[in-house]
Order: sequence, then structure tokens, then C-alpha cells
Amino acid sequence: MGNGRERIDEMEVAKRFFRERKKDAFFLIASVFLGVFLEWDIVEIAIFSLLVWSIIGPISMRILAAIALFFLSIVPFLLVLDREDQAEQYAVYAYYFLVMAVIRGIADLKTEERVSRPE
Amino acid sequence: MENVTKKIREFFLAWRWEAGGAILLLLSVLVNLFPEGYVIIGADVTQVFNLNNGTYSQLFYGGFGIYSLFYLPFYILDKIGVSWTGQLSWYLGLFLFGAYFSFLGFVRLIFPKIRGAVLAFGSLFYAANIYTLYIFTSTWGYTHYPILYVFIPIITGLYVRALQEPRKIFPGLFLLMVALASMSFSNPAFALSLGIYFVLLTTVLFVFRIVRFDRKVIGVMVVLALFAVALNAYWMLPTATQMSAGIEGVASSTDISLAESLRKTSNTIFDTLRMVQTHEKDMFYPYNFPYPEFAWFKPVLVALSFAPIAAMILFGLMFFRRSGSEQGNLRWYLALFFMLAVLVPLVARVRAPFEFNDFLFQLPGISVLRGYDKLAIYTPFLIVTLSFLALAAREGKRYFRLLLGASFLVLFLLALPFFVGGIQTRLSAAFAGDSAKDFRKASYSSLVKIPDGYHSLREMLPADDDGKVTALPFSPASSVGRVDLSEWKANGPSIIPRMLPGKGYVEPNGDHIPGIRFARDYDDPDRDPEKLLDLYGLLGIRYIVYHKDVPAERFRKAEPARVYMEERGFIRELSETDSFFLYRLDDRFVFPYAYSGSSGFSVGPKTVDISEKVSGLRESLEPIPYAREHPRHILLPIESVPSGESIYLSEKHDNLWEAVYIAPDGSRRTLERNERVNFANAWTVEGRLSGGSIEITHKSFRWLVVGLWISGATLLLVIFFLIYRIMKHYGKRTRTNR
Repeated sequence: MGNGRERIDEMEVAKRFFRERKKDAFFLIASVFLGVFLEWDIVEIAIFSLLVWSIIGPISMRILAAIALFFLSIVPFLLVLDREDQAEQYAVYAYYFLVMAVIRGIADLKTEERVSRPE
Repeated sequence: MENVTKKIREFFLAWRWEAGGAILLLLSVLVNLFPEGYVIIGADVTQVFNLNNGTYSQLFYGGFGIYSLFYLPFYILDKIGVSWTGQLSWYLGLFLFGAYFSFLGFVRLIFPKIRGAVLAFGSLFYAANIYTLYIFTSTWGYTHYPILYVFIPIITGLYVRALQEPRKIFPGLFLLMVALASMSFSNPAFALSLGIYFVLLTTVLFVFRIVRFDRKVIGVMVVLALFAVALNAYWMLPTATQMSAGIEGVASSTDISLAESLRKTSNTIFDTLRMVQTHEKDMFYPYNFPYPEFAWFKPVLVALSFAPIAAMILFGLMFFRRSGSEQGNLRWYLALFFMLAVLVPLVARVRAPFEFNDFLFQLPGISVLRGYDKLAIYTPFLIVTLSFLALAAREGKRYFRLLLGASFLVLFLLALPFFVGGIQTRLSAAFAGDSAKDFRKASYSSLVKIPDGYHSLREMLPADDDGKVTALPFSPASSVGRVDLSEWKANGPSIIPRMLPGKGYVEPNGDHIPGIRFARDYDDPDRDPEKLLDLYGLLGIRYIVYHKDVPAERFRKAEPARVYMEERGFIRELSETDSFFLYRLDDRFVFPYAYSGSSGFSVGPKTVDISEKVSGLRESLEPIPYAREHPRHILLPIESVPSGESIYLSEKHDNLWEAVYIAPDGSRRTLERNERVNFANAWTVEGRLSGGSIEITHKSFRWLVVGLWISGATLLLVIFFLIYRIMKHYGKRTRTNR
């Protein structure tokens, strides 16, 4: 009985999401299809979708920066283990998230300026 | 007197951290003093010495003024008797102090509230880091090449303030700094990359509202841009002339294709973010670790090199507060991060996922930015400023002292050789592969002692002889234009031009004749050596420095040819030292500096009938006396030259040499170049020339003169503006005090 209620709640959440945020959902789905069309792998599609979501949705700059830092922190260990190709891959992911964090920061700054501008 | 002492004491107390940082750099120079008697020769660099004995003048005429500003202090040092070894410390000191105070000035302009230990940290970090260590453990640091690095912070700061407060002194100071920074553009690609940097900077200043975007600011920008161009006219005009003539040296082209060059110089992201150059990583610190007795520490340093970028993400983005002093700096954080995010793909070049850069770097003009340093030179400023701001934002927190101490420790470890010594003596790209890490024990070194014989080379040659000099046997080293002199560990450009300033020198492994490398195309032991001497004589070479200090195998291989030439009387020994023979070519081979003759020919690689062609021209030639006003302006008085003949000037082939015939009645006529001739500069005579003279000048030099007038007048205007502003400021203060 409990699991059934949870499943109904999840579906309700999903339905509400698509109802209230039709445009955002469209962009998200479009980003997935774009990635498929450009023959990106699943990680690249996921990161690109996250980039799109970070612009339209509420992923804070700190979370994005934390993810960048997470990937970056793995790189030195990979270098010491002589796994340069993998280190570069993780550095690329860190770079993507750093870019997302900066874009998010810019968006926040512009929002604050709009809010604080006198009428 | 007591008052003055008190004021000085108070000043140093107030600025003790910043002064401490400067003292640390002074100690760094002292601890890295170079062993007496040694100079820098390696890679593409021969230290510029003998400045007081003709090299400075040679640089001016040869480089069309582009190097003169940078080497002026070294000319003065040479004049007052500072040794060549001592001058190396000045290269190091001027760079480190320049970078330190430039960053300090930037912070004082933009973040005036940040002082003390944090300011000292930022300035020290900008001066001493992995990138500047790379500069001084290769050979570039001992030339004009990387000097733009010193100017980046201060011109950024002055530019921002000039846009924010154009009515004050900042526009004038900015332009003055631009005038000084023009010494950075001896490689014009740096000018282009600085332009790209300023476009990016201006964009972020407007987008992040650090500067207001309005008509007034646009107007100030336009004026600053125009004045900046005018201040650089003295090198831009001659360079533009050379570019339009397709002169290869301007774009520093080599035989390597663009695609290969881009692949070779592409940088990984993780290396870019820690200021490391990927493709030669093993030659530089920390991968080239100079303390083999502490080899276990190397992986720690490799990991530690990520500390600055990690800190700036952690404290700059994650932990910022949207209130207080951090709010003001948040715009700068984001602006600088944005600039870094744009630069990273450009430094990465064509590495995945930035393969699209292949298109970008093929665009006209952008290909000159293929060298790593052209764009990577800006990343240390961005990374250091972000780290510095992140640290400054933590001031006042409980853990701040710990963080500050850790920051200084990381700085110290990441630039360790600056502080404990060993630059070029223990740590050098030249002996990166040697286990010994000692310049005295290595097979090759950038720090070399020139054998005594070369110091007396100048006295061995007649002073008023215009015959050129070259070197044999062929001993090409690791790249075009380099000579392998293994006996004294030298692997770099020849030192002969430095020892004989003002004397014409023909590089044996260079491109004196377009498309030909003597070493590659004429070093054939089975070929009659007389053919090579015919070619040399054609170029006006009269003297040969025959090295004994090349690798033994090369000397042995070339020995039969040397003995043959000597026995046949083709060459006559003038002098011998432990390092070389000095030979004089027999006069029958040597062509004069200026002459008229038949219409000439082209020399190609392995021209088999070179001797016959040279002989034919030699029979028809008539020497012409000449007067040289300076190396780029020669006057030939003419008696009679029949129509159909050519006038020859024995200078390296260059389309920018121009000959104008001045008839006895004063009329002037430009002579047409003889394009068949590639071993000298030749002009065809149409219609007999009787009397008068021919004036031969280099077009770039004419434009240099024009450029000097423009830049000089602009500089005077800027100085007057500054004086006016200062007087107005002090006048206002006096009125206010009353």
C-alpha cells in the first residue's frame, strides 16, 4: 500500500512538472534529442541536458561548482597513477561544470539586478 | 632629517608585507646568481651581448627598431661594465620585480581595500609560479620574448580605471604603459593576442557592469585605441610593410605545417588550469624535478599544482556570500572566470572536445597564434587573480591565518627553485633528461662558457673589410638555425654574429637563400668543395670560422674536404685557436658588396652547375664603390652601366630593398627588381646609366622613420596630458587646503 502511494506521488509530480513547465520540459527533451542526433555518448548527453537545465531550472551555482571541484579533485590521483587520458576526460567534465557554474552565476546576477532596479 | 627617517620607517611599517615580498624576490635573484663567465645559449636563443660594441645598433637596423626599447637597459648595463653573466641576473630581476609591482599596481587600482599579506601573496604568486619558472628554465626569459607578461596586470588595471574615470589621470597612465609595453611586440603575434584579450576584457566589463556601457565610455575607448595604435606605429608600420611583402620571419613560420603545429602545441585542460605546458611538460618543473635526492616529493608537487584552481573554485564560487565586501567582488569573480572559460579552449587548441578550433586557427591572421605562449601568457594572470580574490574573501574568518599560511606554502613549493636556487644550474630544459641535474655534468646546457678564442675573433679580422663571415663544418643541431657545438655543450644559434656585431654573417643552417639550407643541400662529402666555395664567394663571404668544437664525428667526416681546400689554396689560414681555424677565402671566389654584371640566375638546392653559373657572372662583373650612410641606406656613385645589365647588392634577398637611380640632372627613376636573382638583391638597368648615383634603401626602414615620428609625437602629447592633469590636481588641492 505504501509503495503504491509513492508511485502515485511520483507520477503526480511528473505530471505537474510537464503541466506547469511545458517549455522547460520541451527544452530538456530537445537537448536529449540533439545529443542523440549529434551522436554524443550518454555522459555527454547527460551533461548537456544538465547545462540546459542549469540555465532554465534552479540548479544553484554552488552545486555546479561543487561538481566541478569533485571531478577536478580526481584528476591529480589519475595523473599520479599515470592515467592521463582518463585525467583529461575528468578535467573536461570539470570544465563543463565550471562553465555551467559561471553561466548560472551570470543569470543570478542579472536576476538580482532586475529585482533590485527601482520601478 | 629625523622627520624623514620617521616617515620612511612609517611607510615601511605600513607596507611591511608588500616590502617583504619584494625583499623575498631580491633574495631569489641573489640565490640564483649565475656562475661568472657563463652566458645563455640554447634552443632558439643566444643571449644578446656586446650591446655596447655594435650589437645594439645591429638590433636597431636589423629589427627595424622593434627590439631597441627592451634592450636599452641592457645596453646601459653593458656600457657601465656589468658583465654578460651579471646581465643574466638583471633579466631575472627586472622580470620578477616588474611582474610583482605590476600585479600590486593592478590590485591597488581595482581592489584598493585589499592590502597586507594577501596583496603580497597575490603579487608574489604572479611573479613566481610554474609558468614564470618555465620561462626562466627554458631560454626565453633571457630575451625580450615574454616581457608582455610583466605588463598584463598593470595595463588591465589602468584600462578599467580609465573607462571608469576618464576625467582623471588614468587614460594618460594607461597610454604611457602601452608605450612601454610596446617592447612586447617584437613578435607581432603578441600584439594580436593582446588585442583579443582586450576585446574579451571589454566585453566582460560591460556584461558584468563593472564599467557602464554608454556613449561617453565608447568614445573614451575609441580615443584610447587610436592613441595606442599611434604609440605603436614605430614597429607597426615596418612590420606591415614586411607582411605585405610576404616576409616569412614576421609570422615566425617554419617548415612545420599549421595542422602539425596546432596538434603539437595543444594543451590539455588540466595542464592549462595549472599553467603547465603539455607538449614539453617533462622538460619543466615540477615534472623536471631538480632534486633527485627528494624524488618522492615529485608526485606531491604534481598534485599540489591543482591547489590554486581548486581553491578558487571552492572559495570563489562555492563559498561566496551575497553580502558585504564579497558582493562587490562577485562581478570580478564571474568576469575573470568567464574570461578563463573562453581562454581554456583557445589554449587547448584542437584537442577534444575543441576540435572546432581547427577552423578558427585557419582563419587569416589567427594562425600566427599557434605558439603556446601567445594565448597561454594570459592564463596566469586570471588564475592568480581568482586565487587572490578567493583568499581575500576569507579574511576575517577564523581559519584565515591557516589558509594564508597554506597559500604561502603552496606558492613556495610550486616555485621552489626561485627561492632555493638552481635555475639553469640544476633546473634547465637543456638537460631535463639527465639524471645528474647539474649543468657542469650534463652533455648539453643552456648555461655555457664561450671558449677564449671566440673573444678574440674580432681582433683577427680587418676592421674595414666588408667581406661576410660564415662557419663550417656543417653541424646542424636540433632545429633550423641551431648549431651543435658539443665541446662546450652549446646547442643553439651561432654566437659568431654576437662576437662580430656589424659584420655580415651567413647562417650555414638558416635560410639566407630562400628555399635553401646549405647544411641540408650542400653538405655532400663526395661533391667537389670548390662548388660550395663558389656559392659562398657569390654571397660575398670572405671568412670562414672552421669549428673544431663540433661533435668529433662531424669534424672527422669534413676533414678531407678542409685539407683539400687548404692544399689547393682555396682557403688560407689566418689564425688558429683551440676552438676553431679562421680561414680567408681566396679573392678569386669573392664577389664585391656592390657590383654590376650580366642578368644573373637563381640558385636552387643542389644546383649542379653552380660553378659554371658563378664563373659566367664573375667574368662580367664590375665592382661599384659605395657609401653606406647606415646599414639600410647605401649610395652607389655611377660612372657607366650599359643597358641590360643588372646592379647587385650583396645583402640577403629581400623584396623590400629598393633602388632609385638619381640622374646627374636630379631626376629620379625607380629601378625594376631582377626577380631571377635570389642570392642577392638585383635590379635591371633599362637604358644606359651614365653618371649620377643609385640610392638603395630598405622600405621598412623608411616606414620606421615615419613610425618613430608618429609614436614620438603621440608620446609627447600623452606626457603633456599627464603633466596637465597632475598640475590641475595639485592646483585643486592647494585651493581646497586654503
